Amino acid sequence: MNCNTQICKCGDFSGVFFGQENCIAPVGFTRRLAFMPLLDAAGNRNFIDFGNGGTIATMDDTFFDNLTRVVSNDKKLYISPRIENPEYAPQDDDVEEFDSGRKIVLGQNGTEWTVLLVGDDASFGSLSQAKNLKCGQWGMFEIDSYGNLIGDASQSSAFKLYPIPLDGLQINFERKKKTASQRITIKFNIDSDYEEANTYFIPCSLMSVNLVTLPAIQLLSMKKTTGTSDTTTAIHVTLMTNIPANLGQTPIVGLSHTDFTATKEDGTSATIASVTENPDGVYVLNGTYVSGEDTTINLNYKGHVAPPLVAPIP
Amino acid sequence: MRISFNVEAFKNLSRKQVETMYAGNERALKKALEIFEQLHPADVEKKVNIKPKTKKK
Repeated sequence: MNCNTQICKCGDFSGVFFGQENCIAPVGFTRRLAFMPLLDAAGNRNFIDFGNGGTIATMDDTFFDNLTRVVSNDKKLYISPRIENPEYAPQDDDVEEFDSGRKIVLGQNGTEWTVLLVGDDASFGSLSQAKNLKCGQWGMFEIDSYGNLIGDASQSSAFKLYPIPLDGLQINFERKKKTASQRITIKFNIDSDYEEANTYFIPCSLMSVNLVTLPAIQLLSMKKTTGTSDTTTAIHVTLMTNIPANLGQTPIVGLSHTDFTATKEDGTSATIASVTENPDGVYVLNGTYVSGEDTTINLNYKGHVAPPLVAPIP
Repeated sequence: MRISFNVEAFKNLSRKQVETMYAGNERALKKALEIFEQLHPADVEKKVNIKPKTKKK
């Protein structure tokens, strides 16, 4: 951790060697942002662990599916849609200048970022999700135009990349104008304690997934089907897009038994023997559920999440 | 109506459980029993070998 009151520490001088291997290319321009809570529910710094027992992990579809969908919300990586017009404005250091012309650097200031989500990516749904960034402490990774994942490598932990800490997150929404599309503006500062020289990246060459095109995760609504009663052999759920009912909410169709999991009160799995869909988006989960207990239904549908549904079994 | 069966789950179900589960949905019940019987051939055999009760004279 850098200390605001010391720009560098005495005795730390280790030279300024700019010579670099030619094969390490500079990163591209910012194409997407990936937000991650700075701390998990237990208060520990979150990070992307791309190590696997001393070697680099296989960063494939499963790796990123786990990171963006499967892990708990306090540890998830939330990848934005494509961003437009990224602007980075490095803020000058705080400097005191004396009459003699001597300047003393008092502290550094973080870079101010402004990015846009536009068109379809600036829907009211996206806006309601982006607003959640105003709650809690967030960090971010950049995804550049090559698919490199750029983050904080300051913790000296092998195979771990940390989110770059942010502050002052602002979300603004602008309606479509005659000459401008509907847009969500996201503004933030890189935390002034963050030393940008610690920025590094996981090269896209180590991944078998293209982060530039990886779909963002969609939030769905999973509710108990109205007018039905759950039993020890049937739980009824309705799965829809997550917008207010009667405002164009559409059913999520074509799910199978692998797209749901059922958990008993003791934390063990309950058996789902089959899933029937009739009509669209309305599912019956036939299985064996314990009478007098709550069964928790979780969605296990790639690219989508939904808050778990608790079904009390009579 | 679309239905997907978790064939693996049927290994741990009894015929009675399957019948209860799909009571009132004939199409699903028929398919479920097919799966069940494939996984529990002994159960089918047992059913076939049940001798009709005869009244003692």
